[in-house]
Amino acid sequence: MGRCHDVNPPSPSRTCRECGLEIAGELRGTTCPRCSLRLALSPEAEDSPIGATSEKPSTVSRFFGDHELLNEIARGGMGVVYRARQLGLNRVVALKMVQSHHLLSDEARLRFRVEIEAVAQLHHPHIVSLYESGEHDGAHYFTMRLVEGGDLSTYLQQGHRLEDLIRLLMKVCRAVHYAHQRGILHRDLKPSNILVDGQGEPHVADFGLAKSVDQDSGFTFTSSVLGSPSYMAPEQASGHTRQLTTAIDVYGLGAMLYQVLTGTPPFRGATPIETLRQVVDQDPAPPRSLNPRVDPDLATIALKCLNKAPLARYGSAEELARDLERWLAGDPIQARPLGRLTTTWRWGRRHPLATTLGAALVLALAGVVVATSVAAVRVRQAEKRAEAQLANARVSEARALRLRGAWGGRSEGLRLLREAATLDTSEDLQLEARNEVLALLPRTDMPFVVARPDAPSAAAWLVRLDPALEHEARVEAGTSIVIRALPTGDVLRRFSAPSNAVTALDHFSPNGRFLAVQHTDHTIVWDVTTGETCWSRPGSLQTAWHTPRRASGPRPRPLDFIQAASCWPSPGRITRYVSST
Amino acid sequence: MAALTELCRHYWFPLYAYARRHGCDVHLAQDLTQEFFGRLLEKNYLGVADRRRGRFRWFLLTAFKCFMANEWDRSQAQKRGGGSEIVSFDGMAAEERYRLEPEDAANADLLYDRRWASDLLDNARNQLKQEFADADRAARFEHLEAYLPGGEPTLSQAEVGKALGLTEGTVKQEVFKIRRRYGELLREAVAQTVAHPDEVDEEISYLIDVVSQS
Repeated sequence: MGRCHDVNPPSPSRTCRECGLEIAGELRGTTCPRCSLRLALSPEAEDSPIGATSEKPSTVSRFFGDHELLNEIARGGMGVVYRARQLGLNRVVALKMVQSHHLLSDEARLRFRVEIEAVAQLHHPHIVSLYESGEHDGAHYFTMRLVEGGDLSTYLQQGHRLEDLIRLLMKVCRAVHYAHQRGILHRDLKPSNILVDGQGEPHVADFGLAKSVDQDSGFTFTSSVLGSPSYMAPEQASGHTRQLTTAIDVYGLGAMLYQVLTGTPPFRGATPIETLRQVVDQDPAPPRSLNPRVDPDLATIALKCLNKAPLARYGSAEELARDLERWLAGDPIQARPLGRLTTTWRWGRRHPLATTLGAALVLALAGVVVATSVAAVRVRQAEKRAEAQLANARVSEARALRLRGAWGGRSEGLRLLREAATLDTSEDLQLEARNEVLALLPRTDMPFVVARPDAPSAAAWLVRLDPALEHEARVEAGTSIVIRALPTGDVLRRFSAPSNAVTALDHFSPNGRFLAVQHTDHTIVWDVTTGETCWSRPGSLQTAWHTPRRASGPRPRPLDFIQAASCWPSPGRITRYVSST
Repeated sequence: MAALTELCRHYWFPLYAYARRHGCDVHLAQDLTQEFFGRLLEKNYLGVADRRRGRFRWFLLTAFKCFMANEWDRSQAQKRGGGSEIVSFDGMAAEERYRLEPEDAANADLLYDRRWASDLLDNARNQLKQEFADADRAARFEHLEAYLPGGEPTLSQAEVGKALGLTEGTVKQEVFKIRRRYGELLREAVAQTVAHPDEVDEEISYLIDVVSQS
């Protein structure tokens, strides 16, 4: 909930200045939470740009440390933004006052400072620079470059050419990628966070500061006041993974591209809750169903970004930028690999002369004479260029997967590199692909698992608890299994099969002594009390634990299933095994 | 619908406490939470398929934040007590529980997870207790309860055996069985809140982790 801190010291009165209700003793400020929320979230305040607007500025002028507050320009989830003059340097800046109830503990304040300092290291022409941060009169603040202009929402309403909008988005993608390379996610990309100056140049604001809840972060920022979740990645909304990756920002970029194409974000319910449900549950409507004039390739690019599975999106914001660049150049995009003939045809649509020549080639082939004509050479050259570009894209994608360290990146990366090597046999590409393979091979990894709606998250395979909730088994570094006591977390044992990476943990035996584990090439049952393997078979086997009973009928034929005694204190015995189907 | 209502009643306190933590007074927090669940159930935002999409715990909090930020109609507060209460709750008991909780500087989202986890663990414990009571073994549960996760036994298993007229070996076996049954009940409860059965253990591991941090 919003709680706006007045820059003046809190009034001694303990009633709300808006509604007159008594304010709870531990709360600061001069408005009650309800009125603070209403003031902070009134329609004209929601998602206001932090750049200057064309509205007449108020005449409020106050001093705040080394700054003179000139006028309020926006209110958002984090706090209030002012145009301010930094007196020491006599420059006009944007000053954002942070709602302090988000920073209740020393640890939270420390993390805030660390975050600000990291973001302040971002120097990019399309990222709003942070100048300084501090605390004054109990209020935390930071200052940043003031961008004169509106935000992307406003810009889109001004009827700019599609090519100009795509170029603008490309710049945003590259700014986002720049930050990703420095380990900073945005986490809240949306049109109101993209400022556009008078020259039509974009500037990404609030980088790294919109941290949603993360158990490692220790504090939330905008989480208490969420605007529209229309641009939120489904894994953010559903908590399907605790690990947020660069894929969430790629999603946000795709959502903005979708809006550029159709005039509306990919999801917009009657209420934010309904929007949230759509984000998690539904696929976005194909852009061409909303606007038949949308270019098919741009629609494909947008939908790739909006894939529910993070790994199915572009591997990086740079990859997205390159595909937009290809579209601008009239070249085949990567998002939808085209067959050779289709490549030629689509390339030809944008290069009519070559199409004519290509048509001549077709006639020649259909006829008697097979050509080594100039026309044939030109068409073939065009094809080779397209293949080379595609091969480069594959190599870049593989590299991005490796750098991201995503599970499944190794196997997926190798697949991409194999594809690249067949597309382009030039020495340069072959060398690049080979180097990438060498970098990729030592990685331990799990095979890529397509995130189907009914499949668990990748991390779910890596944790198992025994039936009595006394021990936890967890995979670390891909090859080690660590046994911890619950709830203390004390490490009891660590074991591994170094040559055999773990792909998934199956289940503990009913007596909690044995653990079935899927490795890359074997299925192994470990005795967690000793760290020794007591059973191993090649292949990925389906395992099940059963309690042996006294058989009164004929003994079943030795079907393939693992069996272990669950009667305590007898140790389990493995008698049979199963083949996967 | 009845099961859904029960589910919502289950998670009422963590959301109420979240609202209180964010500066809402008692009445506002109650109204917000009640209205939120009312809307969810009325408009069936929590169909069975939805509940099993991702982590329900996380989805519920995210949806509540959206609601707090955007949907709250101030006029609703003026109609307190006028609308129908779809999800029954004991507001005063919730407030009393909130006030009795120790001050915690952790962020509100982590506290929400802790309360969620505490409720789940407590419910599993209470279910187990009821099972023992139904089998006329309430006394046995009282002695063995301390050996459940999070408990701190004050008697040795030999002493428990003496009190119950059992050998120490039998007590060890009973402790194992009660813990295993507790694990089954907890897994059943958590399974309702995750999208896939294989996510249960990871979710329980996280919940035990957040509770032990408190």
